[in-house]
Amino acid sequence: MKISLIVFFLFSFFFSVNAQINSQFICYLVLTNQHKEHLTYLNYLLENDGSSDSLSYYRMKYYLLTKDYNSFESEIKNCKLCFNDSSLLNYSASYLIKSSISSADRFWKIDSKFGKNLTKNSLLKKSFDLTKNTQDSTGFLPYELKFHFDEYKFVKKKKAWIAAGLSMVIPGSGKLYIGRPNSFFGSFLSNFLFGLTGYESVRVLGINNGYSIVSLSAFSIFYFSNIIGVVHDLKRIKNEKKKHFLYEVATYQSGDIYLYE
Amino acid sequence: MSFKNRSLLYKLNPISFVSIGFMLAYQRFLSQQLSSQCAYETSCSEHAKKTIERYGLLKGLFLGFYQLQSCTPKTGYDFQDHDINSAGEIINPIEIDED
Repeated sequence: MKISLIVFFLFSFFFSVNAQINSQFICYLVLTNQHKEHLTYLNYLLENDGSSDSLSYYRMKYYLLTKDYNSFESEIKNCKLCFNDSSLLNYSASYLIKSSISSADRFWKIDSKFGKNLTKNSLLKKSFDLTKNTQDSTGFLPYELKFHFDEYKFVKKKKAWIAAGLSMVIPGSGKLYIGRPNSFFGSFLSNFLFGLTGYESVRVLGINNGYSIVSLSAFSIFYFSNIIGVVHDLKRIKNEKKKHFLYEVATYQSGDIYLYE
Repeated sequence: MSFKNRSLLYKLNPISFVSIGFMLAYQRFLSQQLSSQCAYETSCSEHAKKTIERYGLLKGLFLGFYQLQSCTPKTGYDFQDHDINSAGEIINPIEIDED
């Protein structure tokens, strides 16, 4: 009995017990949008009681809420408790992917390195992997999301060199290929008219004439801009379709999860 | 590579400056008199200015002209709803965010 009492006092002397975090108070601050006070409270706990796993858990949630992703990433590495909460991890990934896909990818890498890799089989992670290998099975995707994936898959198949080649042969036809049919005539007509002007001026005035040089230069600018632009546009379309698909998956996944209960 | 990470020589390229100056002069003195109706959120000259800043003179100029020849009253139908702003104009970002 005496020995156990001595051990107890020794433990209480060497290891100070952290003060309890008032989660209800934090919830109140969140619901009333008092983010400044929220951070002050968390900083107060850090200064007075030192760092702890549960405090890191709340700090991580705070950074997620205020969209401070750099602080979020540095905080989550110190939070072992966070890696046990799969719903929080999935919510975080959904939240991150809406702002930047690369930050969500970094987050998954942190989870696999520091945590238990609980997000490995989440819908969002699987969908993200699917965007890299579109030939993989889509059986896990709900019906509502399949449509968005098919859209992305359709666009991803398109090749930039085909779009450029088509634009070289018939200016504007690359736009038909990449899915911009309504702006085809604008490109085709402007190229046709400038080409015709250039051809006529060379035929009538000769190639060394100033007017011919200006006409041919104008045609060249329009012609090459159409080729370069269509490649750039296709890249943009692919990127946007991917973002849109992952955004829809993130919304679907985080629909019934709340950061603060 | 983003504009911030580019070399000083790239940022202070005099040809790019002159081209951007031309665009600025056009916007100040000519554009207002033409009373153009743009299909895009950013006008072609503004777009060209930004693409020259971002991608350099050659590619920037070509991308500016690409928007110019894509600007028709029906162009908006080629875009999804989330690419159109509340005024019915096409949102055309300069950078392709690899994210």
